[in-house]
Amino acid sequence: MGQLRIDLQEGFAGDTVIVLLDGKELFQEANLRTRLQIGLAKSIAAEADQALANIEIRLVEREVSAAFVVDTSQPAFVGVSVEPGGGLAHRVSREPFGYV
Amino acid sequence: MNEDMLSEDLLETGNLEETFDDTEAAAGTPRMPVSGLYTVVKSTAPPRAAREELRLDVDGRYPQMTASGVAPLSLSSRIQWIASVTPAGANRWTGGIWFKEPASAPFPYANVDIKVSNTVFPHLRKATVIFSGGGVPKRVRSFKFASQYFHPVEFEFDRAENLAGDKAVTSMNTHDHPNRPGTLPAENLTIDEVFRRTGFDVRASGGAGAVPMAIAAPGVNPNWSDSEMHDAMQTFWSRFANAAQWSLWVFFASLHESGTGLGGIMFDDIGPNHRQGTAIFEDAFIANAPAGDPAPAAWVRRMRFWTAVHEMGHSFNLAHSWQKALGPPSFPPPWLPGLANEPEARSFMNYPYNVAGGQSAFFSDFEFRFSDGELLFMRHAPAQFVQQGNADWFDHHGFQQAAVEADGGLKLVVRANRAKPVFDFLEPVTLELKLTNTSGQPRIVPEHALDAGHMTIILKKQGRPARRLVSYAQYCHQAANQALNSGESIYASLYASSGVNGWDLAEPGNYHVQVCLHLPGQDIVSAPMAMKVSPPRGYEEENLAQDFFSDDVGRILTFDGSRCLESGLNTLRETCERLPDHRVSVHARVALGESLGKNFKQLNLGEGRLPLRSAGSAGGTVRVAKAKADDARKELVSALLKRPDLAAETLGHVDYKYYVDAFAAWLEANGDRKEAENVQAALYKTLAARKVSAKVLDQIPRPAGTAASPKKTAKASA
Repeated sequence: MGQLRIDLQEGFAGDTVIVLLDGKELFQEANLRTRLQIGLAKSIAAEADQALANIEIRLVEREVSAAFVVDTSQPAFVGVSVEPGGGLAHRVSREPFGYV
Repeated sequence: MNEDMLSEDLLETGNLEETFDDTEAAAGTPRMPVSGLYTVVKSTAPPRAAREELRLDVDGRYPQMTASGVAPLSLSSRIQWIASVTPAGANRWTGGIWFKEPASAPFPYANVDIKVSNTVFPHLRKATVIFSGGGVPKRVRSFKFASQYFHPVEFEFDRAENLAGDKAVTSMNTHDHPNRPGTLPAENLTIDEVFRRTGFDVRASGGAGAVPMAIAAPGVNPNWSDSEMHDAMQTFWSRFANAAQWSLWVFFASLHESGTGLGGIMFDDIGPNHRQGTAIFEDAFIANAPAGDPAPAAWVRRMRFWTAVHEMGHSFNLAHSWQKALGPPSFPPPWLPGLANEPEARSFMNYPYNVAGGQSAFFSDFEFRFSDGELLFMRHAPAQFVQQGNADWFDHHGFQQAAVEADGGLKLVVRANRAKPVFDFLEPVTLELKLTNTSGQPRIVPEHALDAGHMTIILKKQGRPARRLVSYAQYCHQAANQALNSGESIYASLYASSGVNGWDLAEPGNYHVQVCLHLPGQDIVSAPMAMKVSPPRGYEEENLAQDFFSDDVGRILTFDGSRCLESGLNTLRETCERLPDHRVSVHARVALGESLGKNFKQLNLGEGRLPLRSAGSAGGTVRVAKAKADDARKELVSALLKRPDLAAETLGHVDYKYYVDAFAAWLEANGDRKEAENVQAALYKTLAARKVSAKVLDQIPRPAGTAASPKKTAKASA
């Protein structure tokens, strides 16, 4: 239905990350680290089947997860970061994120 | 002070009353900027000795009101110091030294008093610095002005052949775009000029050139990967060397292989010498002005210019504005604890589109500069943290004054109770912390000031990123304070080998251990303690290491025993059998004996994994493993009394006294008062021979008719 890009941005430090889209595993990678000079660990492109996409991010070792819904009726760009306290934060943009 | 460390011809001690005469104030003389690099006027130092330097930062562009310097201590060592200064008269500044590297160097001065003899002829300008404080005679040094800049640097700009030359932006007109600060001067600003204003004497190395692109063949991706750029750097950069040097290669290309989302990258975090190369991708998103922008071409040129300086900033080891506080355990440390993020900074190191109000708000306030914290770092931090090709990327990124007391106050020392801080392979590392009130007044400190919960402990193996030691347990004590009289010290042991991050202090090699003690309102930072772990002495040690460096063993040693971590207990028993005379066996026997000497409560939850629920609802029961007094006694006698001097050395004085006190108390409780007295006598004799302070010895009950009972002392008491 809609273009979706999920960027795993700040705070990843050797984490095993699982990303679920509408309950199905979209991405899994171990030992994921933020490349600090660009503030990005991984960029994942996907196509959502439904206008409202259910996204879940899991950090396996930290036993932390976050789930949220994103409107993909327009192209959606989701930035996910691990906060200093260990929690997950996300933001949604209609423009691609840029890194320098 | 150990003046033997100082080469006589490098040390000039002034008269005790040395100070400046302020009557020289130059009325009517035009005030000329004095900031910059000064070097020692005259030195008879041997050629190999580092020259003495002063960096004075009190006027000119973005003054940081800071003085810093490098002073040689011997042929092979030197100290770097930094002071915050304030005006104290005409061309005179005074202030306290708040940073020394290495902090343990024999350079006790705490204050500087700087006087510049100014003149319109820079080559005649001189500065005199009086170092004082620290309980030693004043030290006076004279310097000659060398440069208005703090460091040299060379830039070499190359571009990919298929990139139009006008896209490789290295200059821009500051008024071309209407969204800008109202006070921004109109000028043609170059990248070189940005870094000159930052404090660098910028030169060009080689000529700007084009990297040939023989990529017409089908299937060849014209975009660049990091490894391709690294290869190009080695081939085309006229200054390339696997060495630290104040030199940087800047590469302009169309796109990175990852696409338009990457506007630039300091790609050189590969190999032994990081931060020597950086790239800007001129056809990435930075070439797209926001919809409706009134001057899109000017916006793009400014964004390309901004991106180039941003990437070059990374090569000076600057982190992004929002990453300044990152540190251990997940990331390499900033130089000192306490670095703060600057998410709204109008700095080259912040993303314009991430501040409140977005890029428009950013550029309306942006003055084409770095933040004060970044300027302080680039101008005054130890050069090895900033210089290209030196410290690894992000290791020691950024720099900020911690709330460190420069003189007086409290002093924290980390040390090992042995002649040389060299530990055997497998030997658990127990260090001693000593906190001393160095002020003339009593000080109030938390009762458990030296508890691990009050401190950050950094372990750094040579050539590796620093790691934070995270203890297996954090204790929550009732808040209470204690008075520490002038000159009085408190002590505690620090088990540094392992924690929840694993065995950070186990591999053979050289390490530095540094502790930052967080007290209300101030941080006390110890000098880094250098120590070494020796290589294994044979197959037996290497073979045991595979089982020894485990989480179970780490926990058993930390908590002085266990009756349930069977795997770890078996490893410790095997260690005692196979290496009976090794220092590690002292630690192993203490842990085994401590847990066998008492009835030991264990929570039994049955077999197998259970879903999370309360112990009660899971049918849990507490059972008691009976004490094995004979076995406990045998282990503790062997550990503590068989070779008491070795035991005191490997366990550390604080822990040795704690364990022997506890053993004596246990003997008395088991009806063997005579043996308890003998044990205390042995303790006294051992610690007295090791020249432990009389205050500690006085705490040990003496058998000579006093009939004092052995008493248990706190592990962290003086």
